[in-house]
Amino acid sequence: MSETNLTQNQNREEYPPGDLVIWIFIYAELLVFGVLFLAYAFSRSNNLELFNESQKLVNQEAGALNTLILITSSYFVVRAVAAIREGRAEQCGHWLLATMITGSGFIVVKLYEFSEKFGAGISLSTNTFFTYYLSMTAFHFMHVVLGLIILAAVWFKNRRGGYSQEDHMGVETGASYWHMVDLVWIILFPLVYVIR
Amino acid sequence: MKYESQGVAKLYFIAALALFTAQIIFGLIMAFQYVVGDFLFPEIPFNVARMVHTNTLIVWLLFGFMGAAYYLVPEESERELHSPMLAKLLFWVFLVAAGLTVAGYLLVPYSTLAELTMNDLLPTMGREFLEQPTITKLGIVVVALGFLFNIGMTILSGRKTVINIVLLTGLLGLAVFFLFSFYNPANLVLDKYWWWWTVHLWVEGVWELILGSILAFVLIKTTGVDREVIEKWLYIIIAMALITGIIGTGHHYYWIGTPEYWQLLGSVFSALEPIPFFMMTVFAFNMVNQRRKDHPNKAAVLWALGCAVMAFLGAGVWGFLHTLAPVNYYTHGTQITAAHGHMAFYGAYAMIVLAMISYSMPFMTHGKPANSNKAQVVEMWGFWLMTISIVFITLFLTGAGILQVWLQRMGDNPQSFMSAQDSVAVFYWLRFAAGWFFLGGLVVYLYSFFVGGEPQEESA
Amino acid sequence: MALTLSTLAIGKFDLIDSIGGGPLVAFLLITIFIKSAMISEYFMGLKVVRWRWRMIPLIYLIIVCGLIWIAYNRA
Repeated sequence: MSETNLTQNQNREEYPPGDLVIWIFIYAELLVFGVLFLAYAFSRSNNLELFNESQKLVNQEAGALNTLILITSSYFVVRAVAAIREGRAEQCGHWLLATMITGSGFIVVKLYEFSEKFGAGISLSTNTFFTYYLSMTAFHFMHVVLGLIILAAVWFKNRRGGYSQEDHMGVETGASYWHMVDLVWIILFPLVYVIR
Repeated sequence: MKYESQGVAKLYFIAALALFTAQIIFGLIMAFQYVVGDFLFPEIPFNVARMVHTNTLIVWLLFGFMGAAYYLVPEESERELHSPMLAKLLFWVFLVAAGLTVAGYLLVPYSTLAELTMNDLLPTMGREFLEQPTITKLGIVVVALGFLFNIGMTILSGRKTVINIVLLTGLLGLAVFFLFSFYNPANLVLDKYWWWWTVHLWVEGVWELILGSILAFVLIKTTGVDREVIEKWLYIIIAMALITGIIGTGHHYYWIGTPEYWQLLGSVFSALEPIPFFMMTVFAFNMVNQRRKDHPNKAAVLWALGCAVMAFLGAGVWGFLHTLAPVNYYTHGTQITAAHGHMAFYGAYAMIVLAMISYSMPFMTHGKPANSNKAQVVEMWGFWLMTISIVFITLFLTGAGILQVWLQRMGDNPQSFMSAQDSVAVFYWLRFAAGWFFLGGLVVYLYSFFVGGEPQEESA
Repeated sequence: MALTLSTLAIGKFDLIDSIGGGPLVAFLLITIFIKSAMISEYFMGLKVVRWRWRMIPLIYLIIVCGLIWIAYNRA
């Protein structure tokens, strides 16, 4: 029918990598986090002193470390996808494993942070800043856990030879979700830990 | 109908429609009492009418869900029901219990009912929507357990599909969260806190799973779209429903003595509750547009699409209107809530049950996929009359609510509750009129079952 | 990929910021945008996808960062 249209789009993929459904999910999740970010930003502007005071208590080093960990982890999963696109399932498995190990590193650091806060007697009810800080990081934490579960499922299927050069949608789907988790953290960290 | 035992659903659907009719009649009585306060006093005071109106709603929806499950599960699992006898027995137990309870509400004063049913042994009565005597609640638990056993055994030993697993999860959640109705602490804050675990986590949590799976089933059957596609949609819809709905419970915790952080959590998460409903609408229309066949039962498709749209409007849009804490500060417990409640319950849950009834009844009455053209036309008249009436009821209540908030809670000289009520009476009269149209629509709908005519075959 | 590593270094620098001030926050927001945009463009692989899909995260980032900036200045 429209020959020109076809040629125009030849070098563009019709849809993003992975299952389209995960993208709808990713966009919905971004929206959830977006609302949280903005609610934080505007609440902050209404309680500036309280936020600045409380922010001194958060562990910036741990947050920065976790940023590095997540970006590295995200990079590993890029390598995993690249490997399976070339049909090298074994390498893909190694990279996925590396992704999960770094992801678990994030969990460990985060749990340390949480225990530090709870140990200091800080809870959701301490003040508005900590309501935001704890609910946003905890919500993100749950996404990291879910991301790891998805990656583990992908890893198992890959180990059983479930993916190939032609059929690797599952790997791309899991990877896309993992990138979303990373992306959200990249906004969350400077916003909640640093900007004052 | 592929399996004989699916036929038990018919009993459940008939009882559901009978109770639906009772619910509407009591709704009309109340709508009139809103403007003429002593109508039918002291025989049926407002509080009793309201109790009957809301309790019959819940019970007929439960009958509808059970019927839908009994019809859907054998077909999905590709085997007969584990025990059709048990299904029939539980039906009568549930119907008699429901009947006795309603009779108790109507015949004796509520406090006498509490004494008669030995509420003091395990006090659970006297709380909105959970007014049932403790023994009725126990009866509900027994029926639910028997039902889950029956459905569970069928699914576990048959084919497992995403649809029947999601449905089973939803029904299991329904039973589990009902258990919170037995917990009745003396502290009013704690009481309300846990009360919402039944009320909210039902309608904005596990019931959405039931809704999603029934909708998916009807769409698979009527559109012939690949199961794989429909299942993927179902997955993200229920994921979003649970992510937003569970923490969204917080939107009930703004002003009842619970910690302040609920204002944030409740606002943010419940503001996103429309997303799964929006997805459901997109999903339903997409599937119908991509249909591989033209199913002769047009009425069932209409109900399914109508359900998706009205659920989005009623639960999604009208819920969002007053879910943010700063807005809710003014609108809490006004007619805005009533407007939302009417459209959400009709759109999401009444319509999905009616969609399932519409889809399955032809198979159960004459074994063909669709009623005669004439019967379907009558049924669609019922659809439009009821749906348009509920839209008007909702709009009138919204008008009443906005005016009420303005008169009673804003401005320099806020009026008292009762004088504000007098000022918005015109909306109540309009709502009462719309209620009659709804009843008319219901009568037309019920009549469609008796139209007869030559049933339609599946067109290739 | 090399570019990603350089933004990583900026992430490190974020640590010492506590002197505050608008320009630094603007700088931080820009790094957020660059880092996140790179995640979506390269890691997620949206660079080679049709605009319709590609734009969603980018527009999202612009709106979120922009509004954070407005909120910051409102204080």
